[in-house]
Amino acid sequence: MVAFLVRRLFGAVLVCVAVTFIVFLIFIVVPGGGANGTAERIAGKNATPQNVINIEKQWGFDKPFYVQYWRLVDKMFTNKLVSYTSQQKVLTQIWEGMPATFSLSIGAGIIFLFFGILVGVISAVTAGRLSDRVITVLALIGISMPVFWLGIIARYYLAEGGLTTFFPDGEYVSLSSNPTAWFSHLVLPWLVLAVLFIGFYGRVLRGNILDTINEDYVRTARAKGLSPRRILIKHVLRTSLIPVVTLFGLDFAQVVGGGAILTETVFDLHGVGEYAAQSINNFDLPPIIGVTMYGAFFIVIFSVIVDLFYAYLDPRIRPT
Amino acid sequence: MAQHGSETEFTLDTATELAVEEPANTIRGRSPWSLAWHRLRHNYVAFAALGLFIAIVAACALASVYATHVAGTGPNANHVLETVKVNGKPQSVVSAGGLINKHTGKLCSTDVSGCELVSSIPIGPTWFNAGGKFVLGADSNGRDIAVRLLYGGRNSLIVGIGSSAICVVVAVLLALIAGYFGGWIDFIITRFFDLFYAFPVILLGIALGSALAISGFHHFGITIESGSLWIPTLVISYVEVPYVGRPLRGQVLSLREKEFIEAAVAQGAGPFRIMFSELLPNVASSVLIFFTLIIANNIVLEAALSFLGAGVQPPTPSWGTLISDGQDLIVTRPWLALAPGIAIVLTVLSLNVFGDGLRDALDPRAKVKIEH
Amino acid sequence: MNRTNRWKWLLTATALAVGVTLIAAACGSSSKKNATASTAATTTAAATGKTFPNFRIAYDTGTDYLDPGLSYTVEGWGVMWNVYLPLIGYKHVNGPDGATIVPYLAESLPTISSDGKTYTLTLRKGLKYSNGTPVKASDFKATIERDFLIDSPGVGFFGNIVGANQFGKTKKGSITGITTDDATGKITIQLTAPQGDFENILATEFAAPLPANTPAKDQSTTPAPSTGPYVIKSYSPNKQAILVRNPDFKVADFGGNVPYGNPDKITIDIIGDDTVALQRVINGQDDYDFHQIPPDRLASTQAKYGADIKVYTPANLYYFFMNTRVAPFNNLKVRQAVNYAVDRQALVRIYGGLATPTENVLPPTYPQYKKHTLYPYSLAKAKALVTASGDKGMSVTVWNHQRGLDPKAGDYLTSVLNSIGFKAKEKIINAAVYWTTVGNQATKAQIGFADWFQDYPHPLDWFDVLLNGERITATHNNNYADFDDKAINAKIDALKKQPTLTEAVNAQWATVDKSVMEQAPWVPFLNRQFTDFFNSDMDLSCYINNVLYQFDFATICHK
Repeated sequence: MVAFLVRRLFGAVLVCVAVTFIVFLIFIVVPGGGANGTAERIAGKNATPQNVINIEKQWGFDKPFYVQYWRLVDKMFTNKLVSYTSQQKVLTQIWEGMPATFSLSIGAGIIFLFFGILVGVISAVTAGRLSDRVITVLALIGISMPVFWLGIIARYYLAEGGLTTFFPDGEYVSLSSNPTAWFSHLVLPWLVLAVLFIGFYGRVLRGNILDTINEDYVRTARAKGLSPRRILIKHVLRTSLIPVVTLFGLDFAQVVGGGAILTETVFDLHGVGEYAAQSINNFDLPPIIGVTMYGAFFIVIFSVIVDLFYAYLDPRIRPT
Repeated sequence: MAQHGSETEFTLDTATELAVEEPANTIRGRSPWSLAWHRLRHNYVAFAALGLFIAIVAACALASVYATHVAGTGPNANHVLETVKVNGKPQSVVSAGGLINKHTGKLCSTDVSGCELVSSIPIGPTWFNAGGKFVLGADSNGRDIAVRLLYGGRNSLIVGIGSSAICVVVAVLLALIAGYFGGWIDFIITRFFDLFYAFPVILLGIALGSALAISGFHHFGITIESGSLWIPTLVISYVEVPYVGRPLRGQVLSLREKEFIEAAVAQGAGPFRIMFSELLPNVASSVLIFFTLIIANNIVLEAALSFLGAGVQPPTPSWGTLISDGQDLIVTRPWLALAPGIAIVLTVLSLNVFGDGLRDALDPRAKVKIEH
Repeated sequence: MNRTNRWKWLLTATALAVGVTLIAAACGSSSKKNATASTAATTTAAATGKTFPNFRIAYDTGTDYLDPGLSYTVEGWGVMWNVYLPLIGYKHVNGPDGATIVPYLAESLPTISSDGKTYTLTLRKGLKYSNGTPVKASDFKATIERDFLIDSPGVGFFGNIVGANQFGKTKKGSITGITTDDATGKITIQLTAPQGDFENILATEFAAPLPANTPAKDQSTTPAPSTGPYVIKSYSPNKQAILVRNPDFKVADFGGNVPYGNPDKITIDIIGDDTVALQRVINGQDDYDFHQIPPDRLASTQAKYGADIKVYTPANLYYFFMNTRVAPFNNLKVRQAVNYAVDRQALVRIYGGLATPTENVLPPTYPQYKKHTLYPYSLAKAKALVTASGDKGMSVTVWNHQRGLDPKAGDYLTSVLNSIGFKAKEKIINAAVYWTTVGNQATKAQIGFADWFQDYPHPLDWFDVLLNGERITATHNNNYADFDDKAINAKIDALKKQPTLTEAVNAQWATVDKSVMEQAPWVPFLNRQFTDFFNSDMDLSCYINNVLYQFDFATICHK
C-alpha cells in the first residue's frame, strides 16, 4: 500500500510539472506571447524603447525559455510569482478566488450527487415505465444544454434585472460576511452547474444498477427471499455506486481545479476558474501557470484518493 | 445506458424471431451487425432522433439557399441604417439612439433636462411578416439572425463532426498501438493520456485556442491562418483524444488476451494484421458509439470555446459566437441568445438519443461510457 | 477490516474532506476588510456643510495601479486626482474651463524663459504629506527620477528634460536638467527644446511629488503618503480601495483650487460585470456606477431612474487607421473612398447610439476644434474613386481586437469595403496583444480599428503622438497610419514650440486638423459618450465632470 502511494504521488508531481511546462510552451511559442511581445505589453502604450529593454532585463525575458520556465516555477513555490498585467501575487489571487470556487463546487457537488443518485435509482427501479422514460428524457435534455447558455437564460429569467427577480444577479458574497446572501447568490450557479451532471450521473447509475441486477449473486439473494429493498440497498447499490463515486471524485476535482470556468464567468463569481479564463485572455503567463498547477494538483490528488477508495471498497481491485 | 422492456432475453428473442421469419431449409448465420440493425430498426425513438439530426444538418447545408431566396442577404452584410416593412409599416433595422429630446424627438447636443437617453436596439423577430427578412430579428450590426443561425450551424457542425472524426481516428490508432504492443510504448501513450486528464478540458481548450487564434499554426511545414475553421477543429480533436483513447485502450487490452488473437499469432500474422484485421473490427461497435456521442460533446465544447473567444473567430458565425453576441441584448432581444442555444440543444439531444439507441442495438450490455 | 469499520472509515473520511473544504470556503476572503468608518479629523478647513460619511463607488476592473508613477488609466487617475497633487493641475469645474491649468502645490504657474526651454516654479510654503513630513522641492526631482527607475509608462513625457534619457538608460546619477533648492522651494527645469504641452505634462500624475524616500517599486498596495484631500487607506487589487480624509489637508493652502471633499470616506468596489454594477447602485449597495449602463438595461433604467443618469463626452476619438505605406492604402484615392463609403451614422447606432459622428481628428470639446465635412456619405463617389485608383479587387485585411463593441465596428467596415470593390476579411486578435501587433512595422497592417483617449487636453497629445511622421518607430509605434507628410510634420514641430495656447495658435491647430484629413490617413468616425449613474440619494446639483479626470468623487453631495 505504502509503495503504491509513494509511486502514485511521485507520478502526480511529475504530471503537475509536465502540465505546467506544456502550458508554458504554448504561450511562449506564440508570437506576442514570447519575450519581446510580453515586455512591450508590460511597458505600455507610451513607453520608450529603453523602457522595453529595461523590462526585458528585469523580468528575465532575454534568457532562454527553459531558464524562464525554471524561474517561474521557482517563484511559484516561493510565493514571488507576480502577474504581468496587474503586478499582484498570483498565489494571493488564487487564494482569494478559492472560497467562491469551493462554495460553488461543494454546493453543486452535493446537489448533483444526491439528485443524480435519486434519479438513477428511481429510473432503474421503474425501468421501462413512464417515470423512467420521463426522467431519461429530462436527463438527456439536461446533458444537451450548454452550461453557459443555461446560465445566461437563468440570469435573464430568474435573476434581478431580468423578467422575475427571485435571485440576485451574479457575484459572490463570502460566507463569513453574510450567510444568507452567500446562499442566495449561489443558488442559481449551483442549479445551473448541477443540471448537467445530474442527468449524466443518473444515466450512469441507472445503467450500473440494471447491470448489477442481472448478476448471479443478486439472483441468489432474491432466491434466498430477501426483500427487494434490502437487496437494492445492501447489495446492488454498493456495487453500482463505486463507478459513480469514481466519476464524482474526478468531476469534483475538475470543478474545484478551475473547470467551472463557464459558470463562474457567466455569474461573475470571481473564482479561480474565472481568474484562469481572464489570465488566458490577457496572455498573462504567471497566473496561467499558477492556476494550471493548482488545477492539476487537485485533479491528481483526487484521482489518487479515488483509486484508494476504489481499492478499499472493492478488495478484488488491488493497485498494480 | 437505456434498456427496453425485455432486457435480458433480447439476443435470444431477436434470433428466434428472425429464425421464424426464414424459410426452414436455409441456415443463415446472423452477424452481430445485422442483429444490431434489426434491434435498431425497431427503436422508433432513436430513428426519430436521427431524423431530427439529419433535418438540422440539411437545413444548415441549405443555408445559402435560405440566404438568397428567403432572407435576401448574406450572413455578414450589415444593414444598420436600412428599414424593412413589417406588416406594411416601415421599421428601422437598428433604431436610432442617443440623447433624444422627449418633445421634439430630435437629438440633443448636450445633456439638458427634457433629453432622454435612448439606446439603439435592433429589430426583433418579424416571423415572416416582413417577407422573409429578419425572421428572427437582427443583431446590433443589422445582420439577419436567421441567416447567421444557419451559417453558424454549418460552421458548428463542420467543427463538431470534423473534430470528432479526427479525434476518433487518432484515438483508435493510439489505443490499438498501446494495447497491442504494450510495454514501454503503452507506458508512453498512457502517460500522454494521463497528462491531459490532469487538465480541465475547457482550460486546455481555451489556452490552445487563444494562443493559436492570434497567429495561426505555422509549424511542421503546415500553415493554417488564424481565421480558419481548422484551428478550433484541431484544438478540440486534440483535447478530446485522451477521453476516447483511454477507454478504447482498456478494451483492446482485454481483447488481446482472448484466444482468437493467440490463434492469429500462431498463424503467423504480423502486428498490423492483428491490429487492423482482428482487434479493430471487435472494437468497431464501441468506436461507432463513441463517434456519435463525441460529436454531441464536441458541438457543445465548440460553443463553449467560441463563447469565450477561443474557438471560431468572429466574424465567422457559429452557434457559440452567436450566443456570446446575444448575451448583451438578452433583456430586450432574447431571441438573439435563445435561438442558437435551442439549436444546440436540439442537435445535441438528437445525437444523444440516437447514440443511446445505437448503444442499445450494438451492445446491450456495453459499459461504454465517456468518462470525463 | 469488517463491514461496519469500513463504513465508519468512509464516513469519517468524507466528513473530513467536506469539513476541510467548507473551512476553506468560509475563511478565504480575509482580504475584504470591514473597514470601520474613520472619523473625519477636525481641520481648520472651511467645511462646505455638505459632508457625508461614505461615498460608495462601483468601479471597473480597468484600475491598474494606485501608484501615481505607474498608473496609466482613467480609472487610476480618477482615484488619484484627489490624492496625489502635482505642482500644477486642473480646475474642478464642468465644461471646457476644466482644461485650465491652475497652481496646486506650486505657488503659481511656471515662469517660462523667452526661449521656452526653462521652466521655474516655487513650492508653496509649509506643505506637508499625510504622514506629517514636509514637502520639499527636491521631492519633485526624486519623483521624476523614480519614474525612470521604475520604468514608468510615462517616461516618454519627460524625455525632453536635459539628462533624462541618459538617466533612464544608466539609472545612475541624477537628472541634471532639474535643479531644486529646498530652502527657497524653487524648482528649475531645463528642456532640450521648447515644448508646448510641458505645462500639461507637469500636471500629470506622473509628476505628482512623493517623498524622496519612496521605494522604487510599485506602491499600490502600500500607498505612498498623499498631499491631496484624501489618503488611500487600503487597496486590494481587483477588489476594493478605500480612501479616507487627509487630516493635514487645508483648502486655504491651495487657494481654493483643490476642493475639501464632501465624502468623509470613499469606498471603491471593483466590479467586473456591468449589469451587476448597475444592480448594486439600484439596490443601494453603491452610490455611483462608473460602468456604462448596458444598452440592454437602458430603457428600464431610464424609465425609473432617468433623473439619476448623466451623459458626458470625454475627449476621445474612434477611428480606422489606413497604413499609407502599404497597398492599397498608399493611394490617396482609396483612402478618400473609404472616408466617403463609411456612413458614420451607422457606426453611431452600432455603438448603441451613445456617440456623435465626426470626421475631425480633435474632439468637439477642444477650443481648437473646427468642424469640417470633407467627406459627406456617398457610396457612389466611393466606388468611383476605387475604380479610378486601379486597386479595385485587392485583398484587404481589417485588423481589430475582440473586446467590447469594437469588433462590431470592424464588421461594419469589412462589409463596407466589400461593397465598394475590395475583398475584405477580418483578423481579430486578442486585446492584450493588439496594440503592440499593429504598432509593429513587420505586421504591415493595412487597415484597422483604433481609438484614442486624451492623456491631457492639448492638441500635441493627438497630432504629435499619432500623426507626426518624425515619431514613427519600428516597434511600439503609435502612428499606425505611418503618416509622414513633411509639411504637416514641420507645422506640428513649429506649433510645438508655442508655450501657450492663444487664439491664433488654436486656429492654426484647426487648420492642421483639416490638412491632415485632406490626406485622409484615417477614417475618424465617432466621439463616444458615456454615462454616469447614481443612486437616487445623491444630489446631482453638485455633479462635476472634468474634461480630463471625468466625474469628481470629491465634490458630489448627498441629499
